[in-house]
Amino acid sequence: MTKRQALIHSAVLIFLVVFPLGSDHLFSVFYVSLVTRVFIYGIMVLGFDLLGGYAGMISYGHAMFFGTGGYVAAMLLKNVTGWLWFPLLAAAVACGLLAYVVGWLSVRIRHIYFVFLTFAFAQFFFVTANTWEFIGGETGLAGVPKPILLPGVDLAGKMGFYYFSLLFLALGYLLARIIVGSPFGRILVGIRENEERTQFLGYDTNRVIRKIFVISGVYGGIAGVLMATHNSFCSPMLYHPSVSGEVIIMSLLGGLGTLVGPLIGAAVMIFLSDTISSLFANAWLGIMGAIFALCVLYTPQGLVGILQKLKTRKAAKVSHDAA
Amino acid sequence: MTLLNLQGINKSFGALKVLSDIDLTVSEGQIMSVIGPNGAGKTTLFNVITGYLPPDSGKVEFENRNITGLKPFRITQAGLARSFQITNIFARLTVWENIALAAQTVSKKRTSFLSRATSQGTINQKIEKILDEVGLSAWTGQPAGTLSHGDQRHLEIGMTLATSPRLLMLDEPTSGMSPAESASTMDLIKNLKKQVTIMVIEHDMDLVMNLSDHIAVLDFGQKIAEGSPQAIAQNAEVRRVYLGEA
Repeated sequence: MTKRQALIHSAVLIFLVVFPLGSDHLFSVFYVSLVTRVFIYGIMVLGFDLLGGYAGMISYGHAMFFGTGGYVAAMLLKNVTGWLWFPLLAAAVACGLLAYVVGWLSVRIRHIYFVFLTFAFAQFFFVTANTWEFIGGETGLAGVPKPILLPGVDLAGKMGFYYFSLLFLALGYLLARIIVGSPFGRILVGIRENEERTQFLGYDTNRVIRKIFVISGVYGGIAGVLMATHNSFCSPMLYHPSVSGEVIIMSLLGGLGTLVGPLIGAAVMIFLSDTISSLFANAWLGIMGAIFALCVLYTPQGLVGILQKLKTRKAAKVSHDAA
Repeated sequence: MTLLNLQGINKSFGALKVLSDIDLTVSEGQIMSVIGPNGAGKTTLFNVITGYLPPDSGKVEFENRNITGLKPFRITQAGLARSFQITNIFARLTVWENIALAAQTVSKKRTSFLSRATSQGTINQKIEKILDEVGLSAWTGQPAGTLSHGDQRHLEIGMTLATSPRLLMLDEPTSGMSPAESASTMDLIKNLKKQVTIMVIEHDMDLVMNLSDHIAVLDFGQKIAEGSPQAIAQNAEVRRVYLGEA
């Protein structure tokens, strides 16, 4: 990481830490909640980007991890323990195992077939969650208690939840950065760019994809835990295909395979949806759709791609001015 | 010592018999060339040896170990690496990254999640050395797809070499090259001979006759001749196939 990057990272982190202090004075506490949603989706898109952006395996089924994480945590918090840690761990393990099984079945195929197989698995969960009365059926599980973090510290307040999600996002980002800079990360990119050649260089690419699928699933599961506890509510909507779709759109919008891009994409999409839906109660989904279509048409590299283009243009201008 | 030993390799695509009962050995330290007209089955032979295609029957032994039908990555790990006739590189990655991914394959931390890919000193040294050998040191930061055709062919060889094979299999390393580029490829292969055994498919007769210790000739999936360059040059059957002599 360059000095400049470290500076930007720290500045963003400091801003996010200070941000909630302005609520009630400068803006409504609703925005603390909204940013918390960005953090939660951010964790999921980071996992998605490792699989889709780096290894090139686009999943249209990430809702299966979001929902599974949410349901495992909600059931345990309601029925077994009020503490956060065991449900969180159980959800992560459950999603890791789920990803292992689905990954094992899915990695034989590529491209559009992989997209649809992951979609089919996620649909299976969506339908099951809707019909299983044991986990609340169509209505879902209401009254998920706010988990206890430490003795005397729970996540009842909006602030607590905000910082807790931020912590997970920061850790998730750090881990993802380490992974993409590792020898393993190098293989992921090799698979995306030319899988056959990567195999002939001595790498078991199916195994590598299974591993990153598991990691990606755990990211999604943790995001699901946070979403269910943040909402105090867990419903089949966590498994809804629109969740899987949003993850893809956020990543494309921000810039696949950059980690930062999908995070920016998540923030832009959540804020944009909020603003546009409050301005145009009926037409907002159509407007959002048009915006995304334009973005994909004109900025295939996403928002991060635009920033990079501006940077190279500026650099070119500087060197031109100097000469 | 025999490094690679093929016994009775057969391969058909439908009704078309592409390889017929091929026996072949490659001895350590040699350059073995496989020649023959287009469609003779040379690349298919490479594909069978390197696990890209399973043979219908027959046995592939490498260092006395049966590797028949193993997956390509296992065969590369066993110490047998190939380049491709049609350039097969990571076009959007830099030259350095292309070699790095290849070089990493023999590292203890080859699939590690948590270490830094770029802080493996021995790997970095190896990358530099190979870039130097294949003459690409000046282009390390360049996307591989922007290199000239000849340089891409050399990168292809460099990547194969970077996996530290004991048998280097080159599929037409000079295909599509200008005479000058071919000459530099010939020098490169001559240098590589000092460190690794080489099996090469080639159409450039100049290169084949100058560099080979041993030549096998395929025609319509059959091995029609085998021997030293001198013996092959005088072989009547080979002359008939290649030069159309009666």
